[in-house]
Amino acid sequence: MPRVRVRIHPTGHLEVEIEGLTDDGCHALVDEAASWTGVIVERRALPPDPSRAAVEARRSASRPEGAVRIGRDPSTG
Amino acid sequence: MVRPRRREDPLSEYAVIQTQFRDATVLAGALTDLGFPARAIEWHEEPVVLRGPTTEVAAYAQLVIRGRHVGPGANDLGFIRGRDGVFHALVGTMDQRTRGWHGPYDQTWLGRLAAAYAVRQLAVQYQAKGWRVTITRDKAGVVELVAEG
Repeated sequence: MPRVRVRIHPTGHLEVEIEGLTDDGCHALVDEAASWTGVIVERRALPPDPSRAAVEARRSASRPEGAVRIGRDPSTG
Repeated sequence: MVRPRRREDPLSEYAVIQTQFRDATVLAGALTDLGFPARAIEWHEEPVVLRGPTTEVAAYAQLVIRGRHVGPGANDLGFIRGRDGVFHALVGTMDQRTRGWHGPYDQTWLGRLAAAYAVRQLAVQYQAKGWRVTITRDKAGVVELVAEG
């Protein structure tokens, strides 16, 4: 049974983990989640110890540049 | 607790996604999650001008919250859809530093809005597929959504 686990941070970035599918199925589910929510800034297949990989990935996941812009944009006015 | 994967287990994948606002209805819902009443959120098919006491440059937006709902003496707050289909926030400089009713409307606030948007969007989409969705929130404000199909 496919399982998608998403950790949604207060910064607005998401960590997605897919379990229970083949390689192609994992890719498709990540693409699907991104199509609903935003853009993929990092993706990787998990090595044999998923818990360790996830921890390493969380440590290395800097706050990505968002598409969310703040401030008045003169070009829109 | 994630158990070590056995050789015969299916593959797993990890990805990081940065939220973008693409759905106006979900964005409006996320704004209510951050405290704005639904009646305060206006939608305009054609962008309308944002007004306010400290507005220096004219700006136009489709999704608008008037200043009286933003805070005392605040400017209108809005979102304009770009050519790429992504909504961009238009927030007055003063309102980024002023608490207002639900702010300050700074980068931290935008992150919280993006998180609320993502939770709503994922829950709606997975439930539409008939998947079971569970949502939990930890003390640090991180939301975990698990969808099983």
